[in-house]
Amino acid sequence: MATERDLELLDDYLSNRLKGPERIEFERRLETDASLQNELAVQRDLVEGIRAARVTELKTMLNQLPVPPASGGSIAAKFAAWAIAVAVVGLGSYYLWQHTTTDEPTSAETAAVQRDESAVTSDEPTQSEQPAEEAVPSAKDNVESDAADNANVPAEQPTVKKETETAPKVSPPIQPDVTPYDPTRELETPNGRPEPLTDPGEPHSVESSIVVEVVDTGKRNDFHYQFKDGKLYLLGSFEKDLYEIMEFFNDDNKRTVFLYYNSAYYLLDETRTEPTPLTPITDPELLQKLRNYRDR
Amino acid sequence: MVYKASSDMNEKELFERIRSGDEKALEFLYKKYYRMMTKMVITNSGTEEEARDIYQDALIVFWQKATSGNLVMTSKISTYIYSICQNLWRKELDRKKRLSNETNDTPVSIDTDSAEREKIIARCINQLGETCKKVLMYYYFEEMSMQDIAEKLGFANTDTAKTKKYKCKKKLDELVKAQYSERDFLD
Repeated sequence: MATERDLELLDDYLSNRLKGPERIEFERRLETDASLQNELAVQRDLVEGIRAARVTELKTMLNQLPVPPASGGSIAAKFAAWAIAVAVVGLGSYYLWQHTTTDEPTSAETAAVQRDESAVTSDEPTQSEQPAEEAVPSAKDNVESDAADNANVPAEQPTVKKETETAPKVSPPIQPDVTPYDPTRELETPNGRPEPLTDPGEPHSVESSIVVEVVDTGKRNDFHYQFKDGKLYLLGSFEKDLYEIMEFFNDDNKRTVFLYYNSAYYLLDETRTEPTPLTPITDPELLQKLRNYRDR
Repeated sequence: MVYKASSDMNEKELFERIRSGDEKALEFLYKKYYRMMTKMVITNSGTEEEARDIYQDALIVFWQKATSGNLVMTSKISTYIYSICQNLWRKELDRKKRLSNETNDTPVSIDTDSAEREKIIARCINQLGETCKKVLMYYYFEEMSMQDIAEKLGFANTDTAKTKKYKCKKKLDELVKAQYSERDFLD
């Protein structure tokens, strides 16, 4: 029969809390004490059972989360998806612009979309080695540094700074400007032939230029936002959850900003300097485009 | 078009939240890298289901190491998880290969006692209250300190957490030993 002290030691031993000479001494005792060995076997079963139960619990939790469809499907499926994406550009862009306030002619916007697509493609050499899912900023204070990230950031920063410096105090009306994800890009090689999708390598990381501050206002202005003093303020209890800011720049350096929070997307109007309620986007085409970008 | 995105967490913050056992951060991480990690398995002869399993297992390994304080990050989180996925998938492929090489008439040995013991323990754990389960899981799986457990579960102090853990473990011990005795699993 194991004593209370033995049970304590067994507990520390099995939970990796018994270290150094104490552990060595205890292992010596275990070699010669049959009853302690029996108790160890039972306690090991218990601890392993608790660990297995926790793994099951975590897996159940993860299985309940919505996830994007896994990539790597058949090439035919990818081309089919690409064809749908082309249809969205061709037919959907007009529809999209109809739903937004604009100062510019429709034809100019269509041309902008086409130029935008080529701009994305020209980034491919940098991105081809990097899975596009990555969106965590590669800040200098990261746990570790990454050469690939550091190489990316300077290339992107001039665009951001230019926008910040030249942006008028009152932003022009919002023009959501997003382009559908072209799944064939990841299949293309310089010789124009698809190649197997293998190691995605290091992820891509581009940091948004917007400074965000969360202000818990209690019940007043809960789930609102405002742009003030060059910052975006999210008003409400956001700190308990996770949010993402998505920025889109067109050729004229016009910026459109979206918030992603709790599986919903919100358009952020930069002219709003007073607390403004957050209203989820419901336009299915715009939602699809945002999802496509976020999933990359 | 230039697309930029940011989240409210950088790598360091994300890792710190994982380290403190923040399940919201784990969920965030899971969704963030789902496609990247499952792609590796799927493009290496795996099914989507296998890919999901491997990714979940890898993420849980990362979670356990981080929460127990046994992990110092020297690479990006994604790189670390990706390498675990690769190792797990290699092992799984080896296991499949071994199985396919075995002849059909090879006797398969099943440790029925061990399986029975596992079932007993799972049943007994389910008989515990939610707080008891959490205390034991945080202590033995996440290997959290009593201080962290007390904060996470809203106990008054470390001593309360210690006492709770002691009582819960004792309760489980009694439940399991009673069942083991009935089946002569105790020597």
